[in-house]
Amino acid sequence: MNDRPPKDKNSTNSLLYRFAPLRLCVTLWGILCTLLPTLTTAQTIYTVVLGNQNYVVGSSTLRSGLFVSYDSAKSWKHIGPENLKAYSMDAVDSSEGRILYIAAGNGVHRSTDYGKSWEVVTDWRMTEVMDVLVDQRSPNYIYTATAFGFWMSRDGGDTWENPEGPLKERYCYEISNGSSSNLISVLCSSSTDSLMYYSTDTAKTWKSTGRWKAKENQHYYDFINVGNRVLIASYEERLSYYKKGSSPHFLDTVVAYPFSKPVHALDILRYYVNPRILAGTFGDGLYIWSDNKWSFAGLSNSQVWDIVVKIYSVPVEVGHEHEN
Amino acid sequence: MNMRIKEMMLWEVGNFFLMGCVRRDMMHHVPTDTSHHIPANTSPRHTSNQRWIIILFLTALFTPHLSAQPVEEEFTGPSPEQREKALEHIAKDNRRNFHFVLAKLRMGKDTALAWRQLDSLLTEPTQDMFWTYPATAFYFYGGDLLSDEWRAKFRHVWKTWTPYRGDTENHFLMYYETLYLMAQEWPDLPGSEWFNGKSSEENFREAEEYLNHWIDETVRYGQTEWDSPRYFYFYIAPLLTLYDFAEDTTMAKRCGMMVEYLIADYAAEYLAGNYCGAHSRDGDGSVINPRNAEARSYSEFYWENSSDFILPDLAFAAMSKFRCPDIIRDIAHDRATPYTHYERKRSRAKMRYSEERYTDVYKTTYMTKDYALGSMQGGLQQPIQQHTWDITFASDKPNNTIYALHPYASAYELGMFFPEEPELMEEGILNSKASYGSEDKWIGGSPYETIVQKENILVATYTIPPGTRFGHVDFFFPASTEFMAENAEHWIVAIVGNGMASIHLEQRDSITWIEYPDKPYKRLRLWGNNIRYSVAVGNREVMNEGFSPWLRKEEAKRAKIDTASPTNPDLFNGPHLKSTYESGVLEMTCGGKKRVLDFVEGRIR
Repeated sequence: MNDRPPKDKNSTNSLLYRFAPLRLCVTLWGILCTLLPTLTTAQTIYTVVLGNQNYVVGSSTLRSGLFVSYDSAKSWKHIGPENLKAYSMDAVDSSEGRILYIAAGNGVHRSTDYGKSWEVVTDWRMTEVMDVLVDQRSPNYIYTATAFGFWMSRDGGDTWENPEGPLKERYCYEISNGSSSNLISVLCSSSTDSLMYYSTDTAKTWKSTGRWKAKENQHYYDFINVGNRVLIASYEERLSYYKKGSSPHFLDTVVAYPFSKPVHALDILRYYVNPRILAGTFGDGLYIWSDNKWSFAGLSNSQVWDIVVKIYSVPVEVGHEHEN
Repeated sequence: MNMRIKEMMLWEVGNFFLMGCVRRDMMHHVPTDTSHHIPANTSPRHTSNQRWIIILFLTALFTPHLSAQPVEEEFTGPSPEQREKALEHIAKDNRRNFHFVLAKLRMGKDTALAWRQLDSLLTEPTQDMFWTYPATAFYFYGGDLLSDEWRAKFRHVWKTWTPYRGDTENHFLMYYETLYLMAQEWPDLPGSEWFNGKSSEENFREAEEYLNHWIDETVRYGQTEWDSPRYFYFYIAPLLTLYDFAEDTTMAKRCGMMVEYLIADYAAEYLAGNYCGAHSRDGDGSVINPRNAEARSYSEFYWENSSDFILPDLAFAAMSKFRCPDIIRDIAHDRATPYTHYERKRSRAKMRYSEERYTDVYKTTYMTKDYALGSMQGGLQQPIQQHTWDITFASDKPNNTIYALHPYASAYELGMFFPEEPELMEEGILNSKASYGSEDKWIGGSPYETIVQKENILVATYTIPPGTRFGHVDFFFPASTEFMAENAEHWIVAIVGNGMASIHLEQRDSITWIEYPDKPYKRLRLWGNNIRYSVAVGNREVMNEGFSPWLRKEEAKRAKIDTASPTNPDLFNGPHLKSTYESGVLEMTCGGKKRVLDFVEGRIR
């Protein structure tokens, strides 16, 4: 029996039959090419805008708050209250974008219908909420860092408590957790410097790591891992790469960029061959790094406080107007 | 019949009269589709009969025995004529805001324009709580003018537009006042009918809780935004609206008592149109020309029988049932005998760089008929707009004040009081508030300033670390100052009106006089990192009786002053106002009269 491919097959197929590993690679590449657009569009980008330049209280209604992009930052849609001094957001990942939280000057806002309607779930006691974090393993646990202390909810935001302890009245401005552990860490201010507190028992007890060195000589706002380097947004150097792997990190490159205002928020779009980096400036809107250059990505003059990229299993339809 | 119900009935009757005065047919000209159907100018003309009806109504309304203020007390102002004059004045203003629109409609002037402006205001809400509080006042004081269509427009705004709650004491009061009254007006609505997703019941309870919290904190521990010649103005209209329209009689009464509390606080440090002494939040204009501060509009209205300084919120005060007790008027004018008045307040909430959220503020104010010398202890108690000490003269010339400051500005100060990144705020605020980062600014506190005052003598010390943005202290002198000095390097003797200030420059490196051809003041700049001066204030008669003996006497007093930081245990302590810390009770006394605001028992004694 002749096991050679029939002569009438085209030459490529003939080659593939001859070289099975190559055929496998091409097949995988085909699958990847089919899947990539789906993966990239499945990334939902939330950008939290504190305000715009020259805003003072009572001056005018400003378009601030939560903006969302479903098309890799090509267009933006505002969702939620428009006149909001917003600092950050989080979502219940398992809800696929249905349950959203915004941390804002006037409290925590919650939506349970993908951002169509919103409710302020806190009262007059909670103000200047700087950060909000959903415990993704127990999504009813919501943690917030406020300028007047640490607050938490055990029922998805219906009720709130300000637990006794060292964070009760301390200025807290950033809260994060480990993806696979109970660890919650909160950055707070002291009378002279920043302090890091952490808890491993759902905020029942706190330990301090003492002064947080990374903030000692540098006012740094955000960072992302890019390959073997860390991209840091700071007041002094604005945007710079540091080499990873040693402590302290060593400055690698100060990034040249076209925007005049400091960068306050960073995030990265995944599933691109070359990294696409989102940089939210404090007063100059949003920029994106792709194809080895920075491009303006909308939200003119806005003070971007936070960028959050979520990946949902169901891609969201695109088709919203550009909000530049 | 309950006195309050009687008052409300009278109020309704009064509204009926007023409604007649501004033409009933306006009720039928309410546009249904506002984009196309704005009523034509249907401005009615006031007839003399209508004017009499207004005066009769206002006279009847404010007859003392019908007042909600329950103590046997004299209330002689503001008079119905004053109220009408205020409304007439405000009605002439064509700017677009609820005050002017309501005054126009009440007085029957340019009513077509007024309705168009109302439509525009409700279509484009802006300015957060500075929009909601006059909108709410309009809705209630002008309630009889509004058809169901207009009410629906108000309703629509509260459903769809999110006002920013703000971050100061006055912001929160305005925000929750409007939420309280609007939730009372529209009960039983679900969260989907409110901008914040909360039901009417939730909004009402939250607002009620905050308002009671604010009142309790203020009368026990002192305001955090205290004695502001500017922002005082923004407390009164929201409280008057609650006093007049809160259906809960306890809330209404407490808010009326709070108006008395705040204006009594003002009256004790009032001199000839000026809010004297240290202030939490002054303005760039009012700090160098105190008689121009917004607070004056209420002192003219409540105790000067004057309509010379009318600002828009008086439209609501003119329609309010609230009357100023004569004892407060007397406190504002009793300057025959000099007195020292002490107050204890709180700093604005400190977020960073402080282990205490609120630090105590100790005020000392020495009041005479010719001048007032007032101060607090220094340091940073408020961001940007703190006014630490001054002499205010009873002179009728402008810029009737002398004071000094260290022009301090830093990310540290901003970070202490505001939540955002300090260095970003510094960068931003230097752009938006031009004076903040200026070496020539005339307003602001400094962490390097310490003030001690006893009666008419004040000692100021500045220890400014090298490298601080500005290493100097500036004195403000009005252009009208007459200077007399034997040795200008060390002594400045400045006369303004009937007052005189002797300033001893005890420690400084050098001085520079700076004069401006186009400005109503001159500046004395003291250079150095370690600066100290003392100020003794008297009246002009001292010059006739012998300046040197007077100065020797004052210097002897100055030498005995303990320069340790002062502390006053009480919220108020002076011949006219007394309130023990945490008591919640304010006792007013003047000329044999006594009036006690007891917030614990919820009554006036």
